[in-house]
Amino acid sequence: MASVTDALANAGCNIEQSSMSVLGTSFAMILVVNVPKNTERQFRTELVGITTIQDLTIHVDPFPSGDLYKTVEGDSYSLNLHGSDHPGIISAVTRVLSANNINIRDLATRVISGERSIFLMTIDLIVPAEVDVLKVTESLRNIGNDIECEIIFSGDDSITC
Amino acid sequence: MAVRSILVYPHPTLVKTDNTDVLIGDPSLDQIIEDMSDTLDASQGVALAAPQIGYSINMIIVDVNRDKNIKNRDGQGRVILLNPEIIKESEPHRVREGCLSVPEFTGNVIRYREVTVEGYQPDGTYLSIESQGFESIAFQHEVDHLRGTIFLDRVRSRRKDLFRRK
Repeated sequence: MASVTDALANAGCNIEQSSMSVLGTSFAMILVVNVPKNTERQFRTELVGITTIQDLTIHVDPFPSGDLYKTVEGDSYSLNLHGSDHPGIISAVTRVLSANNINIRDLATRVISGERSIFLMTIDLIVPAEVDVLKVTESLRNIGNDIECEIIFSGDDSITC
Repeated sequence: MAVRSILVYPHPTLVKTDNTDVLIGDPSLDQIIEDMSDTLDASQGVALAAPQIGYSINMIIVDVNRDKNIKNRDGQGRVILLNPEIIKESEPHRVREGCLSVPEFTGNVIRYREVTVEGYQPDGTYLSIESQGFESIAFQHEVDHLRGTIFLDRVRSRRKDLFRRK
């Protein structure tokens, strides 16, 4: 992490968004970086420099700056799931979300290993106003029964002070 | 009527930790109380602390009966407290809260289900309130403001417990 951020700083780049995580035994990092036009060559040179001395894979895509802060309109919801770990859980749940035009803003999963491994999933969602929330709740309950997982789908019941 | 602008984080007044106690009976408080009350009424919130409208003094106003959700209207009406202190708290639990001074986000924080708050009413009467539920959260949130603490300071994981409002 230090090598990458040092290289970016050397090239005059500004990190606008980042997400970093250890997945298994690998470290993964996604960055949205503002690269000044006159330092683009140095930016690429710095990154190539890192990959030659460290076992890193780096992928760079240009990203139109205007798209970065486009947001999807809707209400914030969260979905929490837990159950016995088995293939197909994420697929089953995201199929319901997709069919109802619900946007996933953040999704994280983990498995707690043991005699009977437990699967945990948390999803932050944006639910457009036209979505029938009762129907989605019912669909998730049904899919939860099918995949033998407890699913809690709840809106932003926050207090504003 | 004077509706004041609500300061938005990171305004320096919101993070001041040395807000001063008010002098009970000070006639200049009347205008500030009116400002706070009017500003709360014009907002989407259920409570306000004096620093949120630029007064670095220890005064809060709480009125959860303003909440859009009927089930949250569990309080005792509008309470204005001068120099409030939380003297007892029990049963921590996780709640989602937002702040008029951090308008774009809500976050999961740990608050107590029940608190006892003490302070003075504008007429100088000493008040001790045993509060629970939604109102208890509002009291904790506002007293935090008087200490320069905002809910972002209490969010454990910026990634998992912080949410952008629609």
